[in-house]
Amino acid sequence: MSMIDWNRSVEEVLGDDTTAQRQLDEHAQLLPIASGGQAARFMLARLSEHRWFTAVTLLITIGSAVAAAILPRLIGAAVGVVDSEGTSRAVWALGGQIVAVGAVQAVLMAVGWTMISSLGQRILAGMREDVIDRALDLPAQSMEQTGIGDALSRVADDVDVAARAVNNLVPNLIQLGFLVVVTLAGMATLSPYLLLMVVVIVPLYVLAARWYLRRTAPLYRKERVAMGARAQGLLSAIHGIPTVNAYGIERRETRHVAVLSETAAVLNMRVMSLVGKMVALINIPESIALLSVMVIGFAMVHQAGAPLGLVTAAAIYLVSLFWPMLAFIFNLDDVQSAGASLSRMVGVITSIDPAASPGPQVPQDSSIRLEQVSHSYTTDEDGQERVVLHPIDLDIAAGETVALVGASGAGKSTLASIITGTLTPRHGRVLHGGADLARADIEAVRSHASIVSQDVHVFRGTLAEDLKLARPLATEEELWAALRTVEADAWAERLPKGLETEVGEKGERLSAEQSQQLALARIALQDPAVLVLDEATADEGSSGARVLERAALAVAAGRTTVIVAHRLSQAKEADRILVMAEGRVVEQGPHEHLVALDGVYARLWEAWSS
Amino acid sequence: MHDPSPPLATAPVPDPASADPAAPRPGVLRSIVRAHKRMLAWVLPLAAISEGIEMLVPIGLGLVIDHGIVAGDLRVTILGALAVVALRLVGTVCWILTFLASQKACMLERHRLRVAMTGAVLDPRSRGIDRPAGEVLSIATSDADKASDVLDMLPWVVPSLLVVLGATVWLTVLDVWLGLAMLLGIVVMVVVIRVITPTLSKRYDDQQSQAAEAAATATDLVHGLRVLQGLGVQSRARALYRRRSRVALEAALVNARYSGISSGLTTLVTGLMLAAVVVIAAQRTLAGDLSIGVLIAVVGVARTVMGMLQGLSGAPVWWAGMSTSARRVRDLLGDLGRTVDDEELTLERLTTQRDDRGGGPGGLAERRGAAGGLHLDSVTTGTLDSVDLTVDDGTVVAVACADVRDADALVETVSGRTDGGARVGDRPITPQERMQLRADLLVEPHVVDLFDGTLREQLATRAPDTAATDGSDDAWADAALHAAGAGDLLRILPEGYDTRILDRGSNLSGGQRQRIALARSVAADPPVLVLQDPTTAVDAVTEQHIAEALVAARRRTDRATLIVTRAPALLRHADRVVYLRSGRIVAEGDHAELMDLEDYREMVQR
Repeated sequence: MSMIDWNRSVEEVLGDDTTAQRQLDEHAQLLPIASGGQAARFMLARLSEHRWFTAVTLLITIGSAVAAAILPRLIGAAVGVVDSEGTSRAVWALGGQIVAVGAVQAVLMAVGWTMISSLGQRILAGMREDVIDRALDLPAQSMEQTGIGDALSRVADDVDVAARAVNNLVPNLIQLGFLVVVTLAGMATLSPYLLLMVVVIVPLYVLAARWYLRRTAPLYRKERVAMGARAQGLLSAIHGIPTVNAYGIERRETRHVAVLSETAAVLNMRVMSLVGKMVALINIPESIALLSVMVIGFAMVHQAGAPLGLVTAAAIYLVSLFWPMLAFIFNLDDVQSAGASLSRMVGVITSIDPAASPGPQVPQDSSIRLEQVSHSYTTDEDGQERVVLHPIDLDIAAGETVALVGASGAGKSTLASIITGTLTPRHGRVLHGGADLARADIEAVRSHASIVSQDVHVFRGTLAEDLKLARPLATEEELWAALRTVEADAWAERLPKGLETEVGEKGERLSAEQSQQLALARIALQDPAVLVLDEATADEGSSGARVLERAALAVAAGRTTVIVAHRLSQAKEADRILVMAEGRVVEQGPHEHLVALDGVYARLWEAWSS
Repeated sequence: MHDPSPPLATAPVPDPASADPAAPRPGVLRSIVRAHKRMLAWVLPLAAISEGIEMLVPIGLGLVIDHGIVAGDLRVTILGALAVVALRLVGTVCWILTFLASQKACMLERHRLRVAMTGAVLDPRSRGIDRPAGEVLSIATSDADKASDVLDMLPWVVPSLLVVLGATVWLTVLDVWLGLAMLLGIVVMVVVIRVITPTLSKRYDDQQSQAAEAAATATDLVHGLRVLQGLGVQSRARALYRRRSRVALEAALVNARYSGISSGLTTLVTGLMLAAVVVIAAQRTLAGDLSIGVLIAVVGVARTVMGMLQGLSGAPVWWAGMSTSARRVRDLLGDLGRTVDDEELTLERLTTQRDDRGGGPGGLAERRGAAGGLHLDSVTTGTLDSVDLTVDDGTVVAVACADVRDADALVETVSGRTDGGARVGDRPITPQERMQLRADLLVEPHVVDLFDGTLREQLATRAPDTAATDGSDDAWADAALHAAGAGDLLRILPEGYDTRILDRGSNLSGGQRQRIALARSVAADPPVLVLQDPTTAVDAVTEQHIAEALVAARRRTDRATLIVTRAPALLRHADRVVYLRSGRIVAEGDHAELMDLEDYREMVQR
């Protein structure tokens, strides 16, 4: 009844689903990945920040492994007592020793586990903070780089993977590792023949582990990509149910998810069959070891006159090692994938510099000046810049309102981003209140100019938390005042818990207009001297559209404002209009002036108003 | 592209939506186990053999030492050791067989549940649900996985328990005190585990949720990166994340302590137990009741039992998680009006069926002819008040609504989610008929959703098969882009038609997304097309281009188009404008005529 053909190749499973094929093989790495060496050096550096803690942790872990390795010897000694017809007292004494050593082992194990896990968690917390730290300063404003956002969210997943590993796996693995080493050493001290046996079987284990890990690593990597694509496909289909149903592509989307799900399953099954083979392989050194312990034991007792307890101890050592060895190898799998996550995190931390102020200048007023500013996002094959904004000089007086009008791709949004400083132009200077952005204090400029872009995002957390991003110390009264300014107080009051209502992806879902109002309320709280509005217009005719328009006006009052105008009614109210086409300003002046000019704008207005 | 697989039946299934929601819903775990009962029938005994052999190995070694080494018989030693090795080999083979079989079954179930839920959620005949997409995703992934784990768990837990019991019985037979010590050990272990596990798993859950919270904050901030940068509040976002991360760290440190204590305690119990067994067995041996080999075997068995108990200790928590997940899967399917064993949701159907839009399976072979236009006969749904409207073939009609609720009600009616008295030709648009009508009617949702794929694939979503999707002739795509005023995209996108558009168009601006969706609907070339506010995210200049090109593209003798909009450019280019206010048609005519009405003029020129 099996309905998955486990023997099919990934390519066969993917079939004609080109999207899935692309998702699995493209997997563009937009973010730097640290090499193994780099990652190791980085981890050592972080460990050395906790030098003493690390050293103590190490000692305790070794101690607990030693205690664990003593146990078989004590048991062996008990057998020896019996074999040599010893006294009942001696047996009781050994029993007491077993209890004592077991207690020591238990305590050391508890402390060691806690310390390893704490150390890992501390280092990880520092790393994830650094990753987000760097991520927040990456230039996200330009369209060409939006892929970075997706790549970064993958880093957030990496943090998660690493955290899970640190929780259980790492303490377990480190303790297992020490246990194996110390136990093998203990065995080797029993007899030189046993040492010889250890020398023979250890390489076999190492070989088997290498054989296994080499094969599983790429499978796991690919499976993870398939699982990511699977989740993405499912999410976007659910989000897009209206579209899916309108276009009648429900089977296509279901199959897309199914194909990726089956791919992940087939890949996972391949790992599982490797696990099976691995267990079979490991049986070889295990069998060799069992046989040789019995034969060596025979020889030890009858040729060298060793006590029987020694042989017993050796046998117990051996059998008690089988499971930890196997567990160790299987755990290495997860370590591998945690390691991959780690190297991505280290890559981000080490290759992106934290944002720093380029200079000390501070804006003196809310005027703006652009000197010979031009921009291109990319260069073509000949190394020529693909210019999206041709050189422009522009002076905007403090308090002036300027509207940008033009078709899509005319360079309006690019100019708007340059004006706020979220995009650094390739050429020219941008001055805010006399301060050159290339030499200005970064925090001063950030709080001086804000842009409301087309992306609306409601942050996770309560409504108050969302607003407080703009002003952390705002009082409740100030928050309500800001909401009143954008006429959002009415619906905010109706929320189940008012300002304390959970919003964002997990909480109350806000409409597009409400989200936009929230964006404007943040501006009111942030209170920048310069405001750039590059918002998407609200749905026509919705009651919210007018509210939004009023809200934008209210928030813009008293600030130097640049509006990327989607409707000419917005442009009409501005002090000055810049008409843009193909990266150039082709006309500029107040509304009446431009209408009288009888140029591009006049024709637009004519079409709009009649 | 065409295949002979059965089409998705377009007739509604025996109305699952009306199924009694209170009716007992079939259990998911039961369904999973039932589907694999034949596998379990041979896997469980085999697993018992492999677990039993694990317990027999220390006993075997004890015997070899007794009769081989102690007796000084090399032959017996070697043969005995070989026998133990052979026994282990049998055990390993059994283990591998059961492991592979149960893993296959487990993965198949995960896949089956996942695909069934996906199919059920997307199926237009399922009952609508109001759950966040993230929740559905987590049920279809992690809960489906966890519920299927029952197939992973049974072949291991059941035999382990049996073997542990068997070992205890054996020890009791050897010596009552040994059996009692063993039993006491088991009881203490269970008590320790029962006491610790709940606290521990609570800690663990707490830590996981704090860690998840921190991770979600990270993702959220990164997604809102542009907004943060626009506001210039990166440093505050940083501080916010640092706080969350520290809270998560605190929880993790507490959890680390508890995990440490728990592992220490189980170690301690194991140690005590071992000491007791060693002392008792050694005393009995000294008294001559047991042989040395049995002594060694007893110690080995005790160790193995304690190891198995440690593993088994996780089982109750595992089981609890499993049944919670299974319940979640069942409830989601139940809310959708489906069950886990729904015949429509079998893997075979869902993975082989092609979409049917009413024109037969496998797509639209060729261009559809005229459908007879779109008609509304005194529609009174929602806020509408007996609206009569006719969009004949060959015309583009615009409807300007003073109240957005009228626009929504109108679109709702023609999309067939309610039976409101709209027709395509002679065919009424009703919830039952809407699936068959999809070949002739496309109501483009106003909220734009794009799916991962190249620009060409976006446009080809529902294009007739005559449109070349291999890039050999992109004239159809050029035409669609032109009609949507999106020709500039070809210049902007680095690889033209082959540029990959990410899910939800996240690598595009709002205006670009909206125009691609518009081009997609034009490329679909439906006999009847309904658009709602298709130009809200574009600027006035582009809107002009769109109005001219869109109307020109749709004004064909066998095509009917209805545009609900207030954009003056679109209104002016339409053949006829219908002005709706307070649910009624207050005026009809061309845009220039209607501009004489003061309230109409104010509405469109705001």
